[in-house]
Amino acid sequence: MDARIPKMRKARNRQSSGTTAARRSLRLLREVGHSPQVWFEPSVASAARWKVIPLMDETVRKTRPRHGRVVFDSWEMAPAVALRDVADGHIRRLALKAGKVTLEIVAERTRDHWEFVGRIYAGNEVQHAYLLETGRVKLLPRTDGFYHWSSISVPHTIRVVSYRNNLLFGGIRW
Amino acid sequence: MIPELRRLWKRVLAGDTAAWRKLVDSYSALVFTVARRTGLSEADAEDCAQDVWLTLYRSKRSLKDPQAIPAWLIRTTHRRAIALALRSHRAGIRGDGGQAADPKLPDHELLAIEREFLVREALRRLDPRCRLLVESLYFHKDQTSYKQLSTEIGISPNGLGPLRSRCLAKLAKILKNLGLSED
Repeated sequence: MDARIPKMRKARNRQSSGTTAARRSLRLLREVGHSPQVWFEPSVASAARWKVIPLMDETVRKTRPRHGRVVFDSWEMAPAVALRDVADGHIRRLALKAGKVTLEIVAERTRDHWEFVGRIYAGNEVQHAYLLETGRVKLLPRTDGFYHWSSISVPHTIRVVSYRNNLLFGGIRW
Repeated sequence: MIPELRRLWKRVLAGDTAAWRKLVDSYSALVFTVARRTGLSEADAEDCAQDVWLTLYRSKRSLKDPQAIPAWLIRTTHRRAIALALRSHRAGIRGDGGQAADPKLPDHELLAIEREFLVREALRRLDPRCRLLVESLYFHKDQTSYKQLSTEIGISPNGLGPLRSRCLAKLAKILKNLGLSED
């Protein structure tokens, strides 16, 4: 009989600690469930951009580069109307394509540097899971999938990298 | 701490990009919630979160203890969000959740966010039946009747009480494994 008592005590202790733990869980559930605070989930697009961060490290890229080409260049179009005394070429629009992926860029020349805005599309859908690389600059997209950067020099090569694609747009003439 | 975090972090350090993506999936809501509750708009919170993830990745080798990652994410996000909120306020721009004066959250609120995250993580790990029961009983604003709930779960109303006890016990075990302690 004496040998049974420690076993019974252990069983009772297990039961009471289990009950205590369950009561604690209940308290937490009520605290969280009745909280007036909202729990926020980020959009799929924003999480996609955060997941691309390791691609900044070139050693983790597994895909081989594929070359793309310029499919639209505003500098090759004659303006419908030319304004007198306005310098040509201070804004340039480019579309660069490789397979189904298109990189659209607007480049604006200011007094002492260039401002660039880019966006990547697959068909008509804005893509968020790409890293854009030009020279030493490596960019993740901001909200709405826009890439912003400025530089005193122009990019002759731009690369856009995802986990599936490694697209190289080279030989861009300025 | 989420038990797999140590193994996940080891893989991140070894250059496993799938592990990084899983890490982002696991903690993105925590980071985003801290940024939003500090008063940032959705767009500003997304950019804040991006900066935080970038900082974590760049300083990954200096983080020796993976257990510290959730607390690091909360503290770093909160600091960045405060700076962004103050900068927006000085520029005269307010987000849709913006606080004009002091965006700093008290410590107990940051702790509450961490606990809430762990509770939600624990719920995610419950089997579907227990999850449905617990969420219906404690998370839905409109109380579901026991009769309706028993129909949805597929047991008799009399069975709900014992099921509830079993589910709470399971939840308690998961919470203990996650390292959640009662303060």
